Amino acid sequence: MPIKINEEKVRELLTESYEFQIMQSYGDEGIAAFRSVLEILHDLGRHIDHDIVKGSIVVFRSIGATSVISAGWSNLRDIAHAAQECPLQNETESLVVEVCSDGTLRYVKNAVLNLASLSEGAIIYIYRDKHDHFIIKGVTKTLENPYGYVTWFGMPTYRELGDALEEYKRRIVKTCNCDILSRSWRDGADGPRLFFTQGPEKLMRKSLTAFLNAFLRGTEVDEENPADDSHPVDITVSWTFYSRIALIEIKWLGQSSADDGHITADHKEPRANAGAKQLAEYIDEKYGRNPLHLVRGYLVVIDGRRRNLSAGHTSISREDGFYYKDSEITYNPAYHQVRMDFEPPTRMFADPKLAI
Amino acid sequence: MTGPGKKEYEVLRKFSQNKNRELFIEGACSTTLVMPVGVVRKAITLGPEIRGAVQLGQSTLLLGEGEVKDIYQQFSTLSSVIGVDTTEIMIPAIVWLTYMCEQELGTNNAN
Repeated sequence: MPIKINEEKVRELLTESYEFQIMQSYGDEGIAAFRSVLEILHDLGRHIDHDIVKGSIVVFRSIGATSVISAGWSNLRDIAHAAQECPLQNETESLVVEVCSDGTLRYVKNAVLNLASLSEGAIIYIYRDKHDHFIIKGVTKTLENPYGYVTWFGMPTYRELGDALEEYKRRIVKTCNCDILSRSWRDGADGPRLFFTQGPEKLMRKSLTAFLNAFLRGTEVDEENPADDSHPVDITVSWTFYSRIALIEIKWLGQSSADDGHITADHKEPRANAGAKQLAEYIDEKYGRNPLHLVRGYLVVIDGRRRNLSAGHTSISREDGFYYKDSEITYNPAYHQVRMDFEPPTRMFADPKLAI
Repeated sequence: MTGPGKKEYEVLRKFSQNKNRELFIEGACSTTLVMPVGVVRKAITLGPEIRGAVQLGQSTLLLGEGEVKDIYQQFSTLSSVIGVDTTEIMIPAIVWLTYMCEQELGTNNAN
């Protein structure tokens, strides 16, 4: 059956379409300028993490050959340079990029411009307050994003990783729904999940790496990538088309036991704090080696703590088994509150198996 | 566009038969600057000729005489509603793709 276009519906779409308004207001020359602004926005999205930008970004191109502003601007080698020059971590900070008619770029930081007036002869984009906007002949049009992302012009890379970790927490760690991870518990999948095996980190790392490889697209997930010469971070995630790296450090809490049943380690809150400190150092090291990349740290704490647990126990009461279920960890220092490159740690509580 | 994509484009554009197509290719590809690639792909597959092939799970010839006529009819309607004299097809293409997706959404909601 051929599709018959409903004219009324098309008219409705056109009233909402900022692209159409740009075409109506600026004509074909405006569309060419619009296209070159869009290309820069996508390029910018590879180097800036919009989720953490607090200031504003303006990208504009004058229609026709004339550049309207001259003083105080610097030439821009590439857009990665602008992202590095202007981290936009304060609400008052702004980065203005002009796409010149020959395709070169210029920028200025924290400039006060009359954008409404400029928009009479230029295509102007603004990223502000976690939204994309275009100013069309003095009128600001805000772009709604039905996919829940803050911008149309970037990939929610870190956000996707955050989602993946939440999924791993709920689907895998909670009830140990993974063959690799189950081997980190004494007696494996059939056991009561009271004691970890000796040195369970390796299996935890393998389990999470396998999960992320399956969950994320366009990424490389590597185990034990050296953050510096002597310290390997547990997992490194890098994005193929984006200058972004995520470092994941895994720590576990609870008790591990040897084959003969004696306790080999008993990790409590300080272990998680040590992991946070370690991760903060890894981030600094990584950034020092890759200054053009955005680096973000993720601390994953697999929590298998049980109350009143002693060597030789083979079962536990519900009350003792779940005692730490909602017991959040206090971090001091709280890196995730004072650093933009440190995500809030994810504690993943592993339920004990009560009915054996 | 990726490096290999650019190289391939440069090779293909050297052929004289592709010269007239460049305007249309640019307009069509530019839609991915404002719409996610997945949405563009989805919208294209909602056309009856492709949808039919997908539903039957078999390959068919694209754009037979009847389908070409239908598409011209659709574009003619779009052109009259848009009503702006333009050689740029980027915006009409966006409108058409958005319309196809909205129609699908409407059909699903109605079901």
